[in-house]
Amino acid sequence: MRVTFHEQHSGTNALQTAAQELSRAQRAVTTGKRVNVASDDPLGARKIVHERAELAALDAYQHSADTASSRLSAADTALSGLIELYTQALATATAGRGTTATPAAREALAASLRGTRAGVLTQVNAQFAGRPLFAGSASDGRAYDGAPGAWTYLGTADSVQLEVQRGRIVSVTFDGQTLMQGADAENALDALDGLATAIEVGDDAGVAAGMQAVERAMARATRAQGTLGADERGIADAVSQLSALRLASETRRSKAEDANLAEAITRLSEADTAYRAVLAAVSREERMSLLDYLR
Amino acid sequence: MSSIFGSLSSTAAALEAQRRGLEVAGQNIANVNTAGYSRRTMILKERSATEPGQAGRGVEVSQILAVRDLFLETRVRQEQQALSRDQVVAEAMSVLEAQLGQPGLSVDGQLSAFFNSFSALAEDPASLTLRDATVRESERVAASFREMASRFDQSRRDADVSVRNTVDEINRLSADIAAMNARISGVGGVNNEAVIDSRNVLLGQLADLSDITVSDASGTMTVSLASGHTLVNGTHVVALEVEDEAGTGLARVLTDGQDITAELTGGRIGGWVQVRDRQMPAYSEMLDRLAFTFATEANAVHASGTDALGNPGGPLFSVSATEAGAATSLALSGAVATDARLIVAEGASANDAARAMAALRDGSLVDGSSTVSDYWGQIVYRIGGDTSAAERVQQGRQQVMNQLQQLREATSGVSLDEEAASLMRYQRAYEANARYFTVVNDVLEVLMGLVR
Repeated sequence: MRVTFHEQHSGTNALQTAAQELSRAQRAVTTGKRVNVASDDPLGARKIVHERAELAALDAYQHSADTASSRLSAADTALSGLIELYTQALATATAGRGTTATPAAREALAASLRGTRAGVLTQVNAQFAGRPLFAGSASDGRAYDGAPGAWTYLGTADSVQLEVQRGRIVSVTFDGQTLMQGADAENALDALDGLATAIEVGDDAGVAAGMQAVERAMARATRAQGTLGADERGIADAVSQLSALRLASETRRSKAEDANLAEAITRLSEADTAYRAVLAAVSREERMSLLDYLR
Repeated sequence: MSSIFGSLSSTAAALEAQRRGLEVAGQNIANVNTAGYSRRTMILKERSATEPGQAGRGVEVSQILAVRDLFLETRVRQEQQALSRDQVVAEAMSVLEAQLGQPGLSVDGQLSAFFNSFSALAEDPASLTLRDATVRESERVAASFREMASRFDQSRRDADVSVRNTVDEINRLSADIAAMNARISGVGGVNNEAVIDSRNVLLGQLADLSDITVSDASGTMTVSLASGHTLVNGTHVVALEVEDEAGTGLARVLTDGQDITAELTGGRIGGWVQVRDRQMPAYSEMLDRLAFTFATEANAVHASGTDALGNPGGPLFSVSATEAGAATSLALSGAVATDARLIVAEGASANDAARAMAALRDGSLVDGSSTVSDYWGQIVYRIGGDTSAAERVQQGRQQVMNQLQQLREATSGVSLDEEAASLMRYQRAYEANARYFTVVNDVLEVLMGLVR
């Protein structure tokens, strides 16, 4: 085949191809990504979209789990406070029972019980991030309000629930009425006020009834704390699983998207060598011709 | 027996022939870089004897030919049409895929942010800050769909402008080729080859623009589109026309009043038509389906809940009634945009609707089989795959084209080595003939001396 001086044309094409390879290799090293545009690896790009969406979902669940965990922790503390206050109330009531206590002592015990009731009111009106924990789904205000002997529940019967993992839903607020009253005729606050009054007036039957009401209130609080503890453990499990899922998803995303730097640098080196080789080859095409010898 | 004056005459003819040889070599060297130039070669012919005993009457130039291989010329043109189409498709697809944005930072990222905003709202449905954030993310996700639809549409409009420009260019080249045909039919001799070369260059340019077939069977060159419609018949040009399509305003290409747009499958115009009429509509359709499904599902959830004012939720997004044009029309409901309290979070319980909205991310909503993010992944895959395929096809085609051009060059290209050798050959021949002329002149001098 005759060789003409238009070989440079194909040489230029080869130069362009080598330059494109070099540019692609440089981009992989500088960005640290093997997929910079979808055509670099269409299937990989699709996988990256999927994994990034999954990571975003897992982050949202993680955020919900963190919020739920914080709220449950605050509720747990409040319930522990309630149980402690109920225990104190029962001890105080026991001391005021019978005929041995003087009126002054009974009055002091009644005052102590009213102080305990104030503590219970504080605990049941506990808030997290400005939202009541024991007012159901009510978003502001207090769970209970009113006056001694006439405490009223202001919240709702439902609760705010969060999905902390696909399919795992936990309540992060609680129905205060179920906690404070349950199936009783009056709530624990009113019961404590009634108990204080019974001690004050030496009404042993009233004291006994009041103590039973406080015991039932304590049982409700204990039960609620048990349920809450189970939810806290569930959240801890969910967080652990979310971490594992996130790690797995991140690994898949990284495998699809991130460049193996050692490999990318090797490719860059290869592409650079290839480009230099093509440059050298193309420059040799500007070779001497017979005309150079015609002097 | 020839006379001594006859020898002078034949030597003069030989000198002329060698000079012409030098001229041909010079012409070839001068055009070594001229696109489409076919090297010239000179055919010498012996001037035969006219008398008995005469050795001959020297040499004369029989022909100066342009060396061409018609088969290769045709193959190069055919391959050029396919290469140009593939180049256009690859270029257009590269631009489009760059506009898709990085995975996770495009429409898919906005969808995730939208779902996450409702997930956060579920944690505190009464929070006005979170409601504002949800409104903003809803606006952004709608804007991301509109922006992507606008990019797709712009790519289609760009392709349309290119179709119109290419039609103008085809008509200009057709007119030039017809003019060349007129010159070729009116001029003989060496100049004809130069005009044929120029016409071949124009045919190459035309093949770059469209799929053409060239017929020169009856001495009249006919250039037709592959579909059979004539562009040039000798000196007559059948110009292509452009008409705006009703509704879309896109260019339809006509010849003799007949719409041939769908028949344009090769050359740059074939590439632009393919991008404009087949590829872009397919991608836009997928984007519209995604936008429509997302908006209608989100609206259904929003309508099932209660807003912060205690009223039943209205639509979250306004969107077209059908899939067509959904991405372009997608916008946040005007009422919600101005009052974040109209965002629905409450359902059967305090945050059911917000959680249901966040859970849409996992729903197989599109075609009943894909989540919205995964469907966006399908769009990315489709465009990325098409771009990658277009680049591969174009690279393969370029290799074939390079080979064919090398073969054509091997036949018609100028080799400076060969031309240098020709220069030497004709120079030496000229010198030898000149020497012979001197000898004959000397002999004539001797003869004239005898007379004196």
